[in-house]
Amino acid sequence: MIQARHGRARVQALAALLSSVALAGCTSGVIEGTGFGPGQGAGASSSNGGGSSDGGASGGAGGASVVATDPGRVTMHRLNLAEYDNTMRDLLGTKTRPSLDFKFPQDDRGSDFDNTADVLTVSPLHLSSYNTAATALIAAAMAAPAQRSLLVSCDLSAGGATCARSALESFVPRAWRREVSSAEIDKLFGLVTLATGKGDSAETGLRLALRAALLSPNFIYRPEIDPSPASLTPHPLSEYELASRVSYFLWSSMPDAELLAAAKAGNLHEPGTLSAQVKRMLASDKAQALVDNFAGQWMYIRLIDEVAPNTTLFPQFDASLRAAFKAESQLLFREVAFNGLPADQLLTANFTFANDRLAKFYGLPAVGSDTPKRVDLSNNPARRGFLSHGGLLTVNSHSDRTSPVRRGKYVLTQILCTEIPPPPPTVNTTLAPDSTGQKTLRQVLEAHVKSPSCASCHSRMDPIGFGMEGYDAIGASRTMDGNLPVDTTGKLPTGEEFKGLSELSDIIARDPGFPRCLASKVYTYALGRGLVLTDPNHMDATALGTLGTDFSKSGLKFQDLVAGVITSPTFLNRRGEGG
Amino acid sequence: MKSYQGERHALSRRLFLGGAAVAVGLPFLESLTPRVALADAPAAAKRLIYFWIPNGVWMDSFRPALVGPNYTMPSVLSALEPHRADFSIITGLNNKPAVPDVVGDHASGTSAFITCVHALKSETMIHLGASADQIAAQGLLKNGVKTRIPSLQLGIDGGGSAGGCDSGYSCAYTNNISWADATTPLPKITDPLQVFNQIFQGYDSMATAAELAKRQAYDKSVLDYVTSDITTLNGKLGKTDRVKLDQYLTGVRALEQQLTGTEPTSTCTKGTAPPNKVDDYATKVKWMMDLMVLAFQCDATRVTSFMLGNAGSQRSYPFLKANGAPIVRGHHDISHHGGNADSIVQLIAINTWTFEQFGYLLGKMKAVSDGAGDANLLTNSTIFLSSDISDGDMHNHSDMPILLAGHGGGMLKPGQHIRYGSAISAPSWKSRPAASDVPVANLLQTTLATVGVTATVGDSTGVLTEV
Repeated sequence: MIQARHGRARVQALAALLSSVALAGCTSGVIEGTGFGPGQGAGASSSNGGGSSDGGASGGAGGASVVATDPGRVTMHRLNLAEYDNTMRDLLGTKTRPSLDFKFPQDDRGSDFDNTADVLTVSPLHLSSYNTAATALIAAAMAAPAQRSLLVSCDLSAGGATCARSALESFVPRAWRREVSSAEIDKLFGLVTLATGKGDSAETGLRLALRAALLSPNFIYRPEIDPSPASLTPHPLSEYELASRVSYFLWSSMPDAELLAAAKAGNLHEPGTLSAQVKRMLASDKAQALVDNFAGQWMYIRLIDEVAPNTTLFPQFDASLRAAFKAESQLLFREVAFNGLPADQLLTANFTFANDRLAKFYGLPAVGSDTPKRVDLSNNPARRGFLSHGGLLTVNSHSDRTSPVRRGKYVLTQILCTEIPPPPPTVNTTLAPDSTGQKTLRQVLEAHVKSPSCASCHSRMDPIGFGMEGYDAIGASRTMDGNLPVDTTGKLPTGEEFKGLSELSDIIARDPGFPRCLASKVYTYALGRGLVLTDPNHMDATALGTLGTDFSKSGLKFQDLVAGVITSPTFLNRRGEGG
Repeated sequence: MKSYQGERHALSRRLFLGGAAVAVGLPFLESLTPRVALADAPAAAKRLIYFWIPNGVWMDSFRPALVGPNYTMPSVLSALEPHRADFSIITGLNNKPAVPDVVGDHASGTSAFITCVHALKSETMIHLGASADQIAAQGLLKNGVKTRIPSLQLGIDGGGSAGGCDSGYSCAYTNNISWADATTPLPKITDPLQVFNQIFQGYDSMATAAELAKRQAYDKSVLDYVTSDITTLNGKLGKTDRVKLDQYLTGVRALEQQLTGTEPTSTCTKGTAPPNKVDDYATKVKWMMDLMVLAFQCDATRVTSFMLGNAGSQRSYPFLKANGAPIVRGHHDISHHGGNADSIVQLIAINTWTFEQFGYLLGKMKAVSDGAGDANLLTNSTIFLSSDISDGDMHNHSDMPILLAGHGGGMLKPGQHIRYGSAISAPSWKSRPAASDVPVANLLQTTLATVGVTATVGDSTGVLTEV
């Protein structure tokens, strides 16, 4: 590997934090407060770790002799399922979820998010689904007066071709999220002429043209056009491209009229305009998309719909508990993210959101409502923070028992961005079962740390999971595991000790890895691409460094983090691909 | 695989038997087509299925001790005894490209399942290669075989909606076995009604010929428009984005073929559509088998792939019992048996059920007469079944558990246990018999040959003449 001479300490620190520790199993230093020093993560992305630590900078940006200038590029995004649905909602007034109704294929994920452009592929099945959906959604919209007015504002039966053309002139720029030339309208209008030429109505023709506009790659994808596709020179996104980036990040949907107007006026890149738009958009109901799609994936809230505990063992688990779990985690995220609370409140909040069903399940006083209400937890620290939420605990359990390993792994990978590889092959991963009934699950699992090949990772995951053993496989509080008392004390590799999840959550919330990790998750989601941390000229590492610092300085305000991502040079700029 | 001499032999045998087998009750979907004189019979359609099952197999209950035709039916295959003459057990083949970079065997094994290509390990970049079913579909097209759907991808689970899939591999590797090319995984249809609609899309028995012609003309114009948009946009993009548009263009062409292609053949009746939503797992699996058969019967496609779950499937099987107790643990967890007797009993129960389903498919195909004499869908098909790994705990990609069913239109020699590598003495999951270096890809290349497609697959070096 080429030893680039630059202020590498910081890059390496981030690389060690963010990279997949895939080559050498788990290394030391997870949850250790401050140190993410060079050479710590023996991961692929920082394989020069342990080399000469030139530069001498200790985490600061100063002294760098090479300034990263490459904003990178994002592969052309296909609308994912949520984006297609939300876009149709805003474009056609569709009230249903087309991706469900028309059974679109599931999106594949990369970097834990389903908006990673490189893995969003298209197959014949997609086209077939798009065609069926577009045909039906247009027909439905044209037949419903409220929706029809979004598409046609003139009398099509009287106005005929003229009216159809004006409908296209107002619809297509919205559908394609940019200005559309009259030549492009002419081409689509050809389909209207085709229909009327065959003796069909202008309405029939317009439907064909609308369908064509919705099957066009200009709709299904979000193209970002480089002035010179082969040039590596960075350039700002166009105003309309920026509008779409912001809109699909915050709303998982198309830009609205106001955002498109700002793009048309040509001043969206101006910091004042941009921050005002972001503020406005975060205040909109459409920002629920961040809850559904960002938090839904990061906090595993989406998995609550899919998890299947063994209801013979856990008869309490039913549809209403499932719904209450989901609402609780969504509402906590909403409250923290949109009401300016510090993000570490996600882990330590002294309140939660419960309806009567959930309050009863948690052993809290009834709230007198089927709708979740904010509940004070000052006297019930066992339910502080979302790591104690029934949903998170359930989706990180087996169907019949808890999984301290999964729970610990969730915290490490999602909250602290430390990758944990699965067991190496040839290691016997089945622990000797307890046939005597004389051991708790924890006592069985403690065999992990006796085996050197298991211990390197499990000494990290398991103590965290042990701290969560006070909750069973569906998140109910418990003091016993079978006939034996549960032990929720633990000691982290750093030496910090805790008793129970509440104390553990405090430790995790204090770890500087948490805000950095959250920043990198939001950044990854916003860009819809994997991080590039191996190339010293790529701006991801410095952008993330700045973001993490600013986020901490802002008092961990999520809205500030979002604004920081949007004003990152990597969000505002791109380059061509070369050769 | 037999030579073409062998195929002629098979044909003449059917000639000799004449219509004797027709006395058997006709399956529900089969209509009475006029029987053409044998001399004029067109070459029977040859078909392929690639059938993937998750988490490997308990090999000690799958791999017979004896090679050749006289093996004792292994316990997990007991439901296949009635079809003994219609499939072979093949053990000892090796899928080396499936070995992952350090870890991630389920992702790498699933992606290499019928590509036999080593997956690029990445969460965000995908790079693999064309799978056998797609090479077949493209080859058939070149050979002038044009069905309404070039190939069908069916499955049971779409894939989870959050969380990583396998150890630094993108979920594209764990959720798909069919790949059109290195960067185009083909997602599967996991809803039975949608499969049904795909088979019959664009087919409207109520429309007059004029209405149909007009609709097809409109569809074609819309898609021509889309194609020209693709071309225009393509000129403005960099190479990675152009790859994306290529995928889109391929999809548009396939859709055009589907919307404007020929009607389903007259030997096929629509039958009853599946319900709008099928939640029960076993019912869904059965529907998918029925629909695979229907798609062949209607000649909607010649090539199908099927995934019974996704890589590392954690499905529990509470409707099955092992040692008297319902199986409530996740399949993947169970497959990491570590030699634990309870886990092994559960694994055997899951494997046994899985092969029962496969037996249902074989029985169903056999019951559909196809072409002359005693030919049926099964005799005219080649079905490859295997998993992403061999043993669920060892995660080995050698000694793959493989069934090769069907007669390949007379080109295969079913009814045997074919063993590559060392002979089997006392089987034991830990000290398992040595597998060979013969690539699984050679068997896949052989499956292509049965439909008249000459092409390599992944690391294949030739066809296997024994099978």
